[in-house]
Amino acid sequence: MHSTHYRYASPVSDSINDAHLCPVSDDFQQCVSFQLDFSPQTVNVMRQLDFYTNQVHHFEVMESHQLLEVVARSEVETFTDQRDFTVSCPPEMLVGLGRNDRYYDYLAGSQRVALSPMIQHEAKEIIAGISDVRQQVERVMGYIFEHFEYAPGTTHVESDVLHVFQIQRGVCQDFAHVMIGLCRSVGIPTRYVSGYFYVTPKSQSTVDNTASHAWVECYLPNIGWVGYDPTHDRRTDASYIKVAMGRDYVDVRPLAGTYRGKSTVEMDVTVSVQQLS
Amino acid sequence: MPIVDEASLRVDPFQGIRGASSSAAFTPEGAARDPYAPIVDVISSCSKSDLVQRQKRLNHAIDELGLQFSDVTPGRIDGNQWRLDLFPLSLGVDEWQCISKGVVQRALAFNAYAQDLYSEQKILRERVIPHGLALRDPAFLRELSGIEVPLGEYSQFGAFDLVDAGGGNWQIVEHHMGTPFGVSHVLQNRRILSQVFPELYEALDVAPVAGFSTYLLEMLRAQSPRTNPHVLLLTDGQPGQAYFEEAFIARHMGLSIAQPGDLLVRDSQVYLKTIRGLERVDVIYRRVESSALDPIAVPNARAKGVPGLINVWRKGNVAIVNAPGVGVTDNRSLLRYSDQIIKHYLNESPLLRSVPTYHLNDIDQRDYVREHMDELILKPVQDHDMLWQLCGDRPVRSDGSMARIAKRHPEYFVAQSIPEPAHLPRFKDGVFEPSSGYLRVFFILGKEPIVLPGGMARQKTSQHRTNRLTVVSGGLKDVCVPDSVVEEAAPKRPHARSGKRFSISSRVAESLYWAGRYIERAENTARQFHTLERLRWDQMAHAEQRTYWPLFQAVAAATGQTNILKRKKPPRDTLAFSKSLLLDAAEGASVRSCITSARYSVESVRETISPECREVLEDVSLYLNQESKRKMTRARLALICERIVSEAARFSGTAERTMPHDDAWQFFRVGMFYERAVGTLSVLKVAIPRIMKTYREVDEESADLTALLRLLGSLDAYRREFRSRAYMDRICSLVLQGKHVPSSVNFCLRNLDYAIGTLSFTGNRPLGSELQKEIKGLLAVLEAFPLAERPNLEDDNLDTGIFETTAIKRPVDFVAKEFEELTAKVEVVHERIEDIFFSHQDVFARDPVLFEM
Repeated sequence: MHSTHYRYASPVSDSINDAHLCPVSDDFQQCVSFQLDFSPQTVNVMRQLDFYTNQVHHFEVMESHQLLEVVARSEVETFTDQRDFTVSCPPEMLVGLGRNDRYYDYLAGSQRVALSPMIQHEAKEIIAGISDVRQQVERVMGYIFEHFEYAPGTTHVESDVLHVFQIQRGVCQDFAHVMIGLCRSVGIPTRYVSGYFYVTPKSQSTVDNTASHAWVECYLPNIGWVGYDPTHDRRTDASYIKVAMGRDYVDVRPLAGTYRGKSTVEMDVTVSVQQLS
Repeated sequence: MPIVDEASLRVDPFQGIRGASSSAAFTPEGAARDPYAPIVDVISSCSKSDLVQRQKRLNHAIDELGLQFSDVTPGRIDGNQWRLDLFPLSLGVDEWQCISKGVVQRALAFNAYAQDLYSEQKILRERVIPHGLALRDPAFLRELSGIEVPLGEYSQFGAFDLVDAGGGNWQIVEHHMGTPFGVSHVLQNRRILSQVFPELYEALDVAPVAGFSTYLLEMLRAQSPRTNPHVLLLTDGQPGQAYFEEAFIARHMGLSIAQPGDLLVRDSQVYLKTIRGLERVDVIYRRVESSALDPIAVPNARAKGVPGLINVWRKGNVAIVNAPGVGVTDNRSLLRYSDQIIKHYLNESPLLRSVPTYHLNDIDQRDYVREHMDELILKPVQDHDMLWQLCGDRPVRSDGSMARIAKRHPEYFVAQSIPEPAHLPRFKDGVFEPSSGYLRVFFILGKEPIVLPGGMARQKTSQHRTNRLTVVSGGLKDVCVPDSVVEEAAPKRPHARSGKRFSISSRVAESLYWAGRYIERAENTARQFHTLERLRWDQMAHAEQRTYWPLFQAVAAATGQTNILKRKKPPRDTLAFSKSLLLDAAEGASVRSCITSARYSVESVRETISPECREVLEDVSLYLNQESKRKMTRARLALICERIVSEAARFSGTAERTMPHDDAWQFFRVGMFYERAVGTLSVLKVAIPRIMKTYREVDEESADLTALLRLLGSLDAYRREFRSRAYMDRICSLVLQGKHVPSSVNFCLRNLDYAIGTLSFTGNRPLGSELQKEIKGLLAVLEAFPLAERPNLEDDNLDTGIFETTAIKRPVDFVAKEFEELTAKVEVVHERIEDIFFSHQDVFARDPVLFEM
């Protein structure tokens, strides 16, 4: 359940929003059910697929309101990734991908992840001497995990990758951007994933079951797209629920919108992930 | 006696270029080519001095018009760069048919490309073009994919730049399918050249271009199934050539112009905020960049846009021309593949080729470019702002910076090898010299594609200009297409049905209201200072100065100079003070500031103002700028004041005569009358209590009271009404309650009431009737104003002065308070006007707040 409360100091109206809240269905997860509820109940909801085939819900709340609640309830079945991760991933096999339009977007710089010479240089240093793409990616992830400090409040949603690189701190969204920058710089197709992470009570983790999460997927030759979570230095598994993917955060903003009124908005997001069986 | 043949003595004006190689107008043997023969004949029959005269007239006419196109920059009025040449570009029947068919073919093919790119991307899957060209394009907005565009026509109105590589071999240099610029130049160039040189057009049989704006309007109207769709032009309103063109075509098509802040989305519809509330919009002629249209659909931190607009478009509830995302058709790196693109989508062989274009990202092409750079023109793949963001740098004017950026980001640059264009004669300094240029041709698609039979020829430049919404306006040429081609293919379109009118937007009303207020205020201040200056302050005795001091203070107060109010004693000299209140640009209430503000207000609603009105304002503005630099004397100040007063009258008169008396005009008047009422009151409010303190009932004419009447422009009216010397209560009665006195508060309020009343019968429901009631209430208050009981005009004692009406028999404090209260009541009218017409729905008046998480 992903619920968002917008609280305004005084009544506002004309709230127009795009939401990326509906989990995707692919080889490793199936979105069994999805329900989007609003309070006040809004009449105008429209659903569409975006360029990356994520579901986008467009909703408009025109009447005057001081509190808006958006609750997304989804039931998702996740499957264990059965692929063989021991096969070799030769970097040469990435070479041809540059000429394939399906990988173009995940190799080029994007709005929040500009591919600067600095990042490129860093990436080459990190993977120096490693000749397997899977190991390269894991090394990059390890590098981020070791060198970057998880520190909420040091960055904001608009922070771009260069800024994060300079301060070496941030949250999951920033780590994902850094990893995207480093991997794309050395020709590994990488995309941004937003979603949820189920934490079992006994496991130790930086994020818990009450927040949304972000990680990346890298394309590994001979294997395919594989999820990596630089915040926790681990490959993703059945405890990860994928909601949307894109070039970077901008493509998959869970909620983006506008309203009219003189007050500022305060948004509380609560996420709860529960294991059903 | 030998007979001198005058013609044989006449020098051939084309001497020297007749035999030149690669001329489009002449054969190598020196004979005029077909389409040019009549032009050459007509021009050859003119003497040199005649040609020079005509060029002068041409320049003069263009300069006058150029004022309309010039930039408004603080403190500066740009010189006019627009130059039109005497010698037009002329096309033969075959040549034009080839161009026009080729233009339509290319437009259709690239529209198909845009549709494909935003949906299945077959062209990439089938590897017809390198996918990087398409996917790297900063104008390719992935957020806009999967939207059904009517007829698949992303660009319904566009243009191409062509170059004549010799012998009528026209090649495409650039696409302008997103936002074509220059139609206003086409229409004006034709109008002016045909006025200055009618013989040319008599000889030529030229197809008219004037109908193009009608075709454009019909195309726009056809986008909506409604019989009387609400069409408007959306612009960001940034001053510049583009905005002037927009104002020009909007006026020609009778469309209103909106800025993103004027529109809002509710319930999946787009609305315009008007003086009558929200009015639904059906068709938007878009001149705002796609990426700045809707901050929710296309994240762009720098643009406010119209949140939710893309969703309305996606649902088909509004038509947007050209379609958002159309920019991909202008991608220059695709020019190299234009043949393939045309074949791929239309399965036809291309009629018009592109000039050789090299993409710097391709290693082989880059090598070629490196070796031939001096023959090539370097250009970015798009003139899209996003491109420079991606490069992290933007070029300045010199050629070097673009090359430097291209070195670091070759993927975003192309180089074009532009064939040396065929020459045409160009008249310069009394002789014709060879020149070469590009031809811009405009098209409109839809059910029946039209190519504008004409266009704009402009001079070739050696460097790329990054702002595509401007033209190098030097050396433009009219473009002549034979009428016979067009007659055969005249578009058959049904008559457009007209319906109810649409309301003006709140922004337009507000701008005109303020324009009216500022002009009135400038006039008031100028007249009042003129009156004071005529009193010859510097030559007055001290006691006399004290007598007039209240008047001075009143004028100062009316212009917001409160520090003068506190002064007990008059200054010895007032020249510096007068000068600052007339000419100081930093002084918010000075005449010059008022004129500047009026000019800005009018500028933002250009389409609603007649060019004649604008010219008056430009004149005054220029005049004040010049005067402010000169050494100031009393005599000069007086002259300036006189000029301002008469220019303000000229503006009102011009507006009255040249503008339709519609809602927009009424708001201008509402502003004027309101300002005048407030101006009169603020003079009285200060002057009367102060004069009362020193007032002595004496027999001689009270000079300060006469001056007060003059200040308010009401001396004649007073004499006519009372045929007596000036008494204070009569003055009050006259300028508060006088029904026929233009300065009186009563007169102003009644006219304001009338102007607002007209809104109810121009629209389909009553508007502002509440406000009218309030104004009527105010008039009643005015009538009962306690210190100005009207004398009985029948009374025999009226002229003797012994009647009890000579002075106001009330305590000064009471009078001051009464005036304060009355002023406050009148000021409420302004607030009410704002509430009702400009920000009637307060919540809509605010800009939307963006958030994301």
